[in-house]
Amino acid sequence: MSLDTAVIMALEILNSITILVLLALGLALIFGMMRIVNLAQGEFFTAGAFTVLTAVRYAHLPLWIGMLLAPCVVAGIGIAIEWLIIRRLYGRPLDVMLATWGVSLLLIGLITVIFGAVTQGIPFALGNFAVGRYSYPEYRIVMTTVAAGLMLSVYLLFRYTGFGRRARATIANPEMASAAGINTPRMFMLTFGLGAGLAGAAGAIMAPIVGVVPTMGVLYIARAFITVVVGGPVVLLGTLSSASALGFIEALISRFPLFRIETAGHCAPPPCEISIGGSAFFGQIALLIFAILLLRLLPQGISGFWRQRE
Amino acid sequence: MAKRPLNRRDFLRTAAVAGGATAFPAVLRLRPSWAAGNSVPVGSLLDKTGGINIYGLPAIAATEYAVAELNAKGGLLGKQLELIQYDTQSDIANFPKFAKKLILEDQVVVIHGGITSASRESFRPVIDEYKQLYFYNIIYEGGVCDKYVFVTGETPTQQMGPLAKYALKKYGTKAYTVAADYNFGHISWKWWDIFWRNGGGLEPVAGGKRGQHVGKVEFIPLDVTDFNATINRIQEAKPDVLMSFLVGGAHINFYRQFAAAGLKNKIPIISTTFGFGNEHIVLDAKEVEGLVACYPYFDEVDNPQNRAFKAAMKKKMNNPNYYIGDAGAESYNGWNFWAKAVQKAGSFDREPVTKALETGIEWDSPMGRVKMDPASHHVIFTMHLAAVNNKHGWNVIESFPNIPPTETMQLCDLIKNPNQHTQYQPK
Amino acid sequence: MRRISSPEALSALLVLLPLLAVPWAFKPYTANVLAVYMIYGLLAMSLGLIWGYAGIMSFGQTAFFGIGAYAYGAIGLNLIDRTHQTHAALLGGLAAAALLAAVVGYFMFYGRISDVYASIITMALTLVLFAFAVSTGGDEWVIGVARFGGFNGMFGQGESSQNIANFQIPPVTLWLPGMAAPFEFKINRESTAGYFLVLGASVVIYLLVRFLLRSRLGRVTVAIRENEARVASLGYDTRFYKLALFTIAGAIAGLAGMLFAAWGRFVNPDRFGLGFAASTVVYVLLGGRTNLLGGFVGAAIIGHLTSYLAEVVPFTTIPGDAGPWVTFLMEASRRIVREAPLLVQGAVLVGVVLVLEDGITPPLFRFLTRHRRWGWWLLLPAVLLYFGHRVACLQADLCVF
Repeated sequence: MSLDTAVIMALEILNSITILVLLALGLALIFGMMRIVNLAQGEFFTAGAFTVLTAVRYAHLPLWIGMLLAPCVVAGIGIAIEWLIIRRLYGRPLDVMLATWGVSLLLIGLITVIFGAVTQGIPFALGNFAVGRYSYPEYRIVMTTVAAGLMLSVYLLFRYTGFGRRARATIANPEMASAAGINTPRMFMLTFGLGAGLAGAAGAIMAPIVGVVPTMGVLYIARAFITVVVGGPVVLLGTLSSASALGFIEALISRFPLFRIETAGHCAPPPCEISIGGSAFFGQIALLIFAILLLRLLPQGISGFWRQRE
Repeated sequence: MAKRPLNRRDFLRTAAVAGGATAFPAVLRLRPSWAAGNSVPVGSLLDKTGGINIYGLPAIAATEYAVAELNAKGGLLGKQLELIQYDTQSDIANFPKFAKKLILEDQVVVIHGGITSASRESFRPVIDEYKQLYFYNIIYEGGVCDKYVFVTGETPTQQMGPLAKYALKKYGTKAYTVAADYNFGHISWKWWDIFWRNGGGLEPVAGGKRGQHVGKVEFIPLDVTDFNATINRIQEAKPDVLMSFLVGGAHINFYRQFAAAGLKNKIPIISTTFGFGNEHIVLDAKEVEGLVACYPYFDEVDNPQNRAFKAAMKKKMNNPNYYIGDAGAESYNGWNFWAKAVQKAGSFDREPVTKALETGIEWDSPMGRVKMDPASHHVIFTMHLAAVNNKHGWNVIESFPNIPPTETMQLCDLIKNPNQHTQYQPK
Repeated sequence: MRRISSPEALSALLVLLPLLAVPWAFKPYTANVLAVYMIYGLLAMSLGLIWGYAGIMSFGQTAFFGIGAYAYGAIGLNLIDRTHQTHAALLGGLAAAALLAAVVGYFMFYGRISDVYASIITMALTLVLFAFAVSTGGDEWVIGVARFGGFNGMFGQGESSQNIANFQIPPVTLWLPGMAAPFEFKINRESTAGYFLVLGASVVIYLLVRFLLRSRLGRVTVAIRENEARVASLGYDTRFYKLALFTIAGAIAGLAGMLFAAWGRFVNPDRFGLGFAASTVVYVLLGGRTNLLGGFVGAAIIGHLTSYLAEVVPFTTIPGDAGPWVTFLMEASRRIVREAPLLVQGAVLVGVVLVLEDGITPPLFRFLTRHRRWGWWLLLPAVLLYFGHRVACLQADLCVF
């Protein structure tokens, strides 16, 4: 394999991991940390993308302002949902799942009512750079940078700020935190809002590359959950390790066929063969199967396993 | 979970919901047998909501216009047409259900509809069981051979001949193919493989160049939105031209990402599917300008019928920029083929109408001249090659009259073997 | 066998008598559509069983439904021409669904995966099966003459692989020794045998499950739902009981799948789709998960609602001279109605979870229990009268109004 192909492959793996990190980060907070099975997470993602779309297409603001607006708007939506619905359902995990699923359908319906069901595009003016005989879009590097930046921000926020300390305390032990004077309902609300805002940011940053359509969240929610579940309860470490493992597998299997099976039947050109691997489809399947295997081996997720060993 | 004691309020609340829901059938009209009255019911099954409605909405609009136009001219055989539409909500399970409703309850004389091949196949068994006349008016992979079914949508071979010849002449002989990973994509690929290697025909084209495939054909699942690896593989293979059979909202992103990787001006794209979902309106000119497609209808095709059709549709939709598209034009044509057959047969019954259609009805439609091929129940079109321009529209390059659906005609003769209810595909 | 209580007998009569009368009281379409609601209801009941009684919300019931349907189709398409009956297909479909359920259940319960993760694993199973089923459009995916067909669904192939939709999945066909000719269970203008097949299957399965729940297996499983640790400490192998119930629920879902394939003579990957799995959960939620009949009620209501919304097609043109606000409002309401199915389903989910607690059926049943006399003396005669009149009107033209 030539050097430029190897570099391109490394970039593909990096891209896979980036997308999984973006999808999973907000949910890692909401589900990984707060244990809320939020099936509306995909719609937070969608809302972020639509905020950027509105800003750019209808309000004619520059792209970067739209991108900054998106997490704020979606955090607001998240806070509203927590206050109206999730708050009443703490301690009933399955009911939360169903209620957020209902919210997800309502949000999709609402967004479709406002914007219509057509896929729309966000124009952007970034170029591409050469890697040997390939050219690779610069925007994907930007995405990776933003993903890293988001993770860094979350780390700094939770480690070094008062809010972060209070949030961690509340989630670790709500009664103790409340006894110590922390406003626990407000902490839950704000943390949920933060998780929503992160999803909004992810949706915003991915919007120019993927189309903006009301049902876009549906495509991502499954992978987001799988990444978070495999990652385990520790937000950053879990998300990063899980996204790396799963993204690596997905990129690899999308690239290389594992083996080919010849079958009887008519094919053009012959022979008929089923190739296991080497396509986007098998990349997805590999991700799912690998996730199931990981869960079977490490039921607490990757970071849960590490935590247990300490 | 603590059980609350039941009180009257609880019961009334739930009873209201349950009672209201079950009372609905009483609200729907019971349709009397139509022979007595002066209107005749006709049915339409299209997706008004859900993901497929990008094709469904233009088809519905054209359907309503076609029926209204017929009624304004006095109806058919002295009766007004009563259009009964059901929104199948982009859910395939709804097609057999509502098809049975149209047939058993509404007793329609004809059904038009179905969009994806999967939706059509899901209720073709119902059509066959109840011997119902049915028109399928959408582009598809070809090969349906069913005595009760007439198809006014184009098939791959009608598009691939002109496209292959044009690409071989203008771009080169090496093609890379990406296709949607489902039946339509797989069957399209099979036909394309034959056409490209033969230089634009089912048999080797005399005196023409032969195409060859580079790299391996890629089948991409319908919900994939990230085409990074695919685009890199295309670059590796260095084709002269890229053939795209991509379909749907997720696949639109391929063109965007392709352009973002700087390939738009390096590798030209031809496609049998681009534009059917109005992708050229969604995408920017700098993302897809120059992409070449081949359809029997573009809004930009210029003839007197199309000018009138466009004006009427713009008025109906109250939008001077309304874009009709191939899906809309085909639905309009489907209804008019049926109407002309009914007039020729002098009856609404399936068998006389079928016989009338099998005499080879031909007329000047907004698409140009179209003719129903008697044996295959498919339409012979005038095909147009066009390239995306920089105004979210098309520039028509060349037109080819009398392009028959050769692949289906080769395999399907419903006059010699009338008792067929199946679909064929290439070997 | 304990005595049937009065409210149970009452609700049984209130439900069964109308259902038995439907083929004569309404046009064939109604029997057709009720049959599919009952099939969905069976599927929902299997979910209610595993969820309401064992406490595990499985997104995977539709996976077993689909496996049952495809297996029945594959075996039926291959054997129907030779044996002219579908006995083997029915057994095969059931076995396939039960086997898959046993394997998945073993994996989940013996791996000590918590309930929430189990739900997510069943969701992943459905996704994998969907992705697989969709990719089977090519010629390679053939078992005998049965083509998987990918998105287009399963059909029987013709003499060559060129003819890809030569014949359809057969309806349930019985040919027992002693019968002169095979008997097909169909629903059309001539026969409603298919409807009675589905109705009979639903009744039989319901009674079997009721019996099962009163047996030791049922009682232990319910105890596990309440407090697994305590049951384990009493010496029961909780994994085995969960596995057993999961397998039974999977088999019921598979049976529903087979009936579905036989009803529509068609099956396609949408049966593995997330949307179908979602609908099933909504049926159970709306109907009530602690009552086995909840799924049927939910399926019927949502099915009705969907049909009703599908017929509302407000495509009125907005007058050109309307002001911007009028135009906006009309366009907005038009769009709201267009998206109504989604909004309705979403509202149902949120509403039921927040407000109704356990769906519609428990309050209804409690009402019937409290007001038995009204039930026997008012409700039942009213139902008998209504249906009796409809039958007389439709069959013998004796209509009063």
